[in-house]
Amino acid sequence: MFRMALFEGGLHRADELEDLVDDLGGFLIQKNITQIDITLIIAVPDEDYGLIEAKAKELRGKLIEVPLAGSEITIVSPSLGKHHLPHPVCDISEYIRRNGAVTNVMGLARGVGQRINQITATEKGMIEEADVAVYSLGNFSRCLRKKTHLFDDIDIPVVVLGGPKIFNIEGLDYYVGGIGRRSQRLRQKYDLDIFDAMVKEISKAVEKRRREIEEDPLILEPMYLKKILEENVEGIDKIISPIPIVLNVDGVKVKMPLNQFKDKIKNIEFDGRKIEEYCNIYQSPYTGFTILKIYTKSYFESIRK
Amino acid sequence: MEIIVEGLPAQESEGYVALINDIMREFEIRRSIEKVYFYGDTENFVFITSIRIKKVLEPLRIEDVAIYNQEKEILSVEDEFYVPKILSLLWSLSKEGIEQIERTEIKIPLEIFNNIKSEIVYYPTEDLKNNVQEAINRVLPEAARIKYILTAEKTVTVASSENALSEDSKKLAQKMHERD
Repeated sequence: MFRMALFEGGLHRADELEDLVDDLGGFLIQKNITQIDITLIIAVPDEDYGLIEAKAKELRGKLIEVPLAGSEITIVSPSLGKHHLPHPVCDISEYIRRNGAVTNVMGLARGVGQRINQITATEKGMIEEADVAVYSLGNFSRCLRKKTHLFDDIDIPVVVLGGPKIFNIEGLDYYVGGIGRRSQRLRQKYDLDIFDAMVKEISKAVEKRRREIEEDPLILEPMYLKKILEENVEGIDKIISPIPIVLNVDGVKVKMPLNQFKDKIKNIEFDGRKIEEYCNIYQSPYTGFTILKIYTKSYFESIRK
Repeated sequence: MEIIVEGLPAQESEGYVALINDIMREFEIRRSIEKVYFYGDTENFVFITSIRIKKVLEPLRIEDVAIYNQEKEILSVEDEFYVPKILSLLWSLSKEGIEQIERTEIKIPLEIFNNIKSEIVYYPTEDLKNNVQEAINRVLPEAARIKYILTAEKTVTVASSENALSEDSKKLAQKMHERD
């Protein structure tokens, strides 16, 4: 079992921590260097976490456990208008990122209003590419009730954020109240407490998704697949995106078009098999990135037979 | 600035008071506003916002915002903000002998200055009202695009909805507009 943590510290000697993670059989999920500071998101075996804590202390860095590491979360706003952005959607996104997840922000084309709101199939498809969707809605409970069809049909767990403290409707498992429409930054103690509650709900949603997958486990951990790709695929280190490979709960997303990617992984083998035999590889119709969905054990066995 | 929210449940009202306060702060008009009335009917999706301005300011003339040196025939403008307004006014009359020699200094012949010194260059209340209108648009829900606007010397009222506004809603807006 791996424990995810975020390390924030100086660039000097940070490579010692990276080496330690590697020696312990852990993974480096994300690495961001900003001038002389470094932020690392790491996954280390549970029993060796103490060693990482000691190393972080020695380097005078900050080590925080991040429950959402290894997941991709889409924050959906009713529109991209000034009514909803940058507050609170960007603040929500920032707080989720601080807890280790990779976030996407998305504004619906016609998500506003009671009678006129709607969602398209394309928008649903884009949302479902992530592991969890977080909907940031408004202050009025009546409006929230009229907008349930925006997330009713989404196949991934949905967390709804809204103004009313309590909002109960059938089919909605995760709701956090107190974050409706805002026009200022959310950085007061009261707001941060709500954000903590939000992270708890999102963690539950990610956990639910992981439990669903554990019922029929994947043949390869997404973190292993990421490492194999990083070590073998030429050109991944040249991708200018800050996170060239995004970890999902059931696969990875490589920010490279499929036609380039397919040529590069043709000859890569892992455990005597080609990468293509471990996962379904396709191009996202929306972003153009390559998505690798790892096969489950039962599916893999059925193919082998 | 007093904020009065009506027609909504207590908790939603509190949220809207905070939202209105934040929006007014963002537009930097809190000190110029006396009262904000907000009425919300979520069942029919009708929202009315009415804002009272504290006081109507006098329009500013050229002689209020600039000093003219008769010997050098140079007009020194106190604030850069007024320079484009003064220049556009001058150029609408004549370009002969008029020259902007520094960012805030304009060379103007004496006879032209005497003609324009009492001209109005800036209406502070109009500017404030534009800001108030923008702030109201931000307060109202984004979907409420159908608007019924009422303006008076010290009051701006906007009723809005995503549907066509009924006569009752317009009457209610009128009533809020005339309220103290």
